[in-house]
Amino acid sequence: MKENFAAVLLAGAFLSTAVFAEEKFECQFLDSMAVPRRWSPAESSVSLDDVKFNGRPVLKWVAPVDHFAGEKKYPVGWPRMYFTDFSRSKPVVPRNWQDWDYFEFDVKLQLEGDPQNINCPVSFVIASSQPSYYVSLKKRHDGKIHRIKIPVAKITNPRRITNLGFSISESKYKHGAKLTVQAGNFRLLRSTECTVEKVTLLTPAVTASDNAIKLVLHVSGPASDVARGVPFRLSEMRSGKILRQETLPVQRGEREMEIEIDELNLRPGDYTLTLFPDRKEKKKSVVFKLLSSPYKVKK
Amino acid sequence: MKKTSAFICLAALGAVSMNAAPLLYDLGTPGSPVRKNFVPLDIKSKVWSSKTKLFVKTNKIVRESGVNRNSGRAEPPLYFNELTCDHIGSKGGADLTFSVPDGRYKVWILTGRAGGDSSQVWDIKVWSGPANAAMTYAGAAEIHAIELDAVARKGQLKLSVSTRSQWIINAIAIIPEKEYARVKKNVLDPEMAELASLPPEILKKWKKMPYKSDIPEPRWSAAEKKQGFAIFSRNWTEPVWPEQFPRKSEIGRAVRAFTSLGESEPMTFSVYPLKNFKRVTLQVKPFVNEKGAALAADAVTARYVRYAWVRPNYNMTGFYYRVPEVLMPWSERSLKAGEPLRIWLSIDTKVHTEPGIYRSTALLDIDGQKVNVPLTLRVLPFRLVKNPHVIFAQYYDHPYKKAARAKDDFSRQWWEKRAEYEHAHMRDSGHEGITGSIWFTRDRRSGKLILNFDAMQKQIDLMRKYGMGKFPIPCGMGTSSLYAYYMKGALMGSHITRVKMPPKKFFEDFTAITQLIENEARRRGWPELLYYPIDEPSSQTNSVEFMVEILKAIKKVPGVRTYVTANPAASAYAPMKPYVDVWSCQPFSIPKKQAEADMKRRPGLEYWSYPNHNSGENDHTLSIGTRMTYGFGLWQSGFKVLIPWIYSVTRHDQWNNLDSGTSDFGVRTAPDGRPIPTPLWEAYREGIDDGKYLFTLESLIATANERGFKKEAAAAQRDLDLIKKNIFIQERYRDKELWGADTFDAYRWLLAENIMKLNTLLY
Repeated sequence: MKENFAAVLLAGAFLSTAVFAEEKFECQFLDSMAVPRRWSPAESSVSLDDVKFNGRPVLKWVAPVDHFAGEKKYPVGWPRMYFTDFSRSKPVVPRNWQDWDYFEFDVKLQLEGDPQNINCPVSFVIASSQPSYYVSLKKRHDGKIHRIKIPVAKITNPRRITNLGFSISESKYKHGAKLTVQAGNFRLLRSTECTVEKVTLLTPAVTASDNAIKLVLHVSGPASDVARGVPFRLSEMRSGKILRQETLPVQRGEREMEIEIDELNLRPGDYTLTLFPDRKEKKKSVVFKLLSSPYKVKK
Repeated sequence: MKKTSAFICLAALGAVSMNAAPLLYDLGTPGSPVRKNFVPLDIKSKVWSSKTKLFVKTNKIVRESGVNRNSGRAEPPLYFNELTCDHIGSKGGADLTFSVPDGRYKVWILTGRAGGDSSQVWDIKVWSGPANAAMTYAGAAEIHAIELDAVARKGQLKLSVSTRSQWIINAIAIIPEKEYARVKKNVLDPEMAELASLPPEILKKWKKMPYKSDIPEPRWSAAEKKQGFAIFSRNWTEPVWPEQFPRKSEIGRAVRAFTSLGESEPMTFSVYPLKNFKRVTLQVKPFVNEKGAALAADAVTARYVRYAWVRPNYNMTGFYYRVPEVLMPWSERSLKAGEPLRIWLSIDTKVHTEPGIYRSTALLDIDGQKVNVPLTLRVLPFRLVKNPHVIFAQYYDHPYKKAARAKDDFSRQWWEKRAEYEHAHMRDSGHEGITGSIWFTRDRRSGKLILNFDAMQKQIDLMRKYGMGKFPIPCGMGTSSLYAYYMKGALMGSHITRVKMPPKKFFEDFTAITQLIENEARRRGWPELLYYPIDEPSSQTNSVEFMVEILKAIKKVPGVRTYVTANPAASAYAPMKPYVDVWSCQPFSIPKKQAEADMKRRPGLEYWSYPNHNSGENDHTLSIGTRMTYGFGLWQSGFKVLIPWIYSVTRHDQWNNLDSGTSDFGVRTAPDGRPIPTPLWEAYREGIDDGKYLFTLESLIATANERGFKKEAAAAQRDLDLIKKNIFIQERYRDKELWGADTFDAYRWLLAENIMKLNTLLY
């Protein structure tokens, strides 16, 4: 208990915002999440670990797998622990994550007594409105520290986080196994300027009969900067010839969008779509293939 | 009687009403509960004259759920209300005469929810003069309203009822024609809506979770505003949700598809109504090519997408939402403002169709406004080849089981015919097999083995008739019955969670019975049986220990293979590995390289998948993930067989997904026993076709290489590699991290172009 108390004090001290200029990310550490008494473990136990991740406090959650003990109705159950702070009237961790781009933490998993378990599935859940957002931490039981980066855009209602926690299903483990999860360095991050974090092309191939390409853009940064849009360029891959260049209106978070191409009368071939084409450090490109139209028969 | 409202009949039980007013009768026993707005009509009423004996049946109105003894899960009762809790019926004909003022009427008849025997097929035909209406349906829960026109003359309105098995009637409404729309809207439609979901006192405990679309309302053109609707086209793999707007790019988008010879292709378009419309009719003109040649008259099947209430998960209760679910045979529709109507055409080409561009028009008549929707189909000059090393099959609840229990000839023949239709449907959709089972037990007193081979023989005969005779059949066994015999009636529990190790004699007997089955299977020349003692054993230690022993007992019979539905990647099942020949699991949980290496290392070992995330067990709308699983996904999985659970599952009413402990899903059944597919079923079929395009090209590349066309083969291989590289490999394909819908067709076109190039080169 004394250790926990000390950690609370430390947490208060670390609930601060730091700016890493070189990464263009603003960061708020959530060390108060590494306070064991703020978690409610079931069929498992939690304590403050001796080790630190990146100088930050670390929680140690131990889940022994017992197929015969636990809740009477479900002897093969779900060892779990949830962060109870959000249910308080004034939580030390902010409930509203809307203005942040990422929730991050570091995690290290160790599994004993179940050497053939190649998956070692562990769930991390963030609850807001339905549905809850689940992150799978499977196949990470190699004793190394893994960084878990969760885009806030994936959370159903980031304005009001209501719960988060770890759980495992004992049915996925051998009886007698023991799982140890060390987690720490909890923090919220946001980009200091409009950035395309990820672009996924949903239509790596289209035909000349299709009128648009579809992509998913994950955009971070301050809303005011994002509102200015993202410059994009469409060019022929082989010749580099620029066919279209304008600013794409975007929103923070992850959005599916269409870029119409039918007016360009493109010929079959490979094309490059580049976002922030003139900013080397922010540039992101995807390539799509345009095929002939199935509905034009060559004579 | 007390609850009878003012506007209903004044002419109950044969009394004459001087003014034509709606007559609403609740049929049943005297003294049974009567529905609000209805009056009772019992078997002794003067309206009846029947040559055969009428019967009456009452079911209890219960709202409390029971508990399934084996699984421990809550099981809701079959919900009846005052209208459905009792009915009058007969095995023969009957005439009804109502005393009403002369004039034109609409007659509405509620029939169904009989309770009792699930193998009974109900059949009713009602005549009034030349007008008639009919319905055929199966089981204890299904309920329908039929309507017909009637004319009253000399103060009498006559109805004649006939049947080919048995008929029942729960309620009759006789409504003056002019009153019909009002009564239907205010009384009859709400009754049917309640019967299609849950009793209000149950439903109020459930939370509605409407689908949230992120498509904004488009700016409607002046023409769209004037006509009150817009026509739009969306790729068939993307659902059109109720209350969802079309995307700007979808309005006026061309409706077209391409197909190989002998293939079936979906072609869909939708109407977004800005206001209500009473009547939409559809006519599809023949598809004609540049030279004037037309596709066969039966080439086009028209359907519409039916919206239905579903829950988010197979056995979840308490939450519900509305989804596009079943592809109903086309019939005249009405339109409700803001609710799209999706029209789904299936175009079948014959193998000898002349290649080329075929054009047609879908003619819509929307309350008198005529709309022409142009349709284009390109028929490509080649046939597809299926990879013989992958197999598509279905878990199947065989209608023959109900046929065997049916109490009349019509019911028995209906189930048998249904089995025929379903086998033809599976075959035509690329499926090559179904599951089977040989149930056995020992008589509690004498210990005599009870085992029936003939039922399985009949099923195999039918499979062979429809070309499914080569598939190794996962064969369920009477394990739980034999366990109960040796364990004094004990149950094994859901997923054998409560199983205890039975005595050695049990396993010795199991070996002997397996040997007996295997001998008989070989004697009868059956396809290989894969012995499948338990479905989805849990990973608990007691379950796994039991599984090891029972698999060992089976494997003592020389040459037989075992079948287990469990995830081979889960470490808890490791002790079973030496005794499992076919692993069947939901995800593609073993990476392709490992799966192929494992199968090569141990002949007889196979990895199968039952992708229930694509079957509609939970989400009924994942057509895009289903297409991926069945085509490009399977291609890059290393798995050999896809065998989802299940072709069709009906719990209570097949048209009500909420009324049972678990949801209905899969293919539904028309009154004549023919299958009614779902978009997910079509996604199976289209995914299988994607696989055929891939295999056809792979085969041509191999031939081109053999014949020395190395350069051309390499060019085609580059395109295949590009597709491979762009697949987001996943264990389960649902609706995330997938290609956009149009890219599936673009890649299919890339394959088609290469097939045509190599075909020209080689042949």
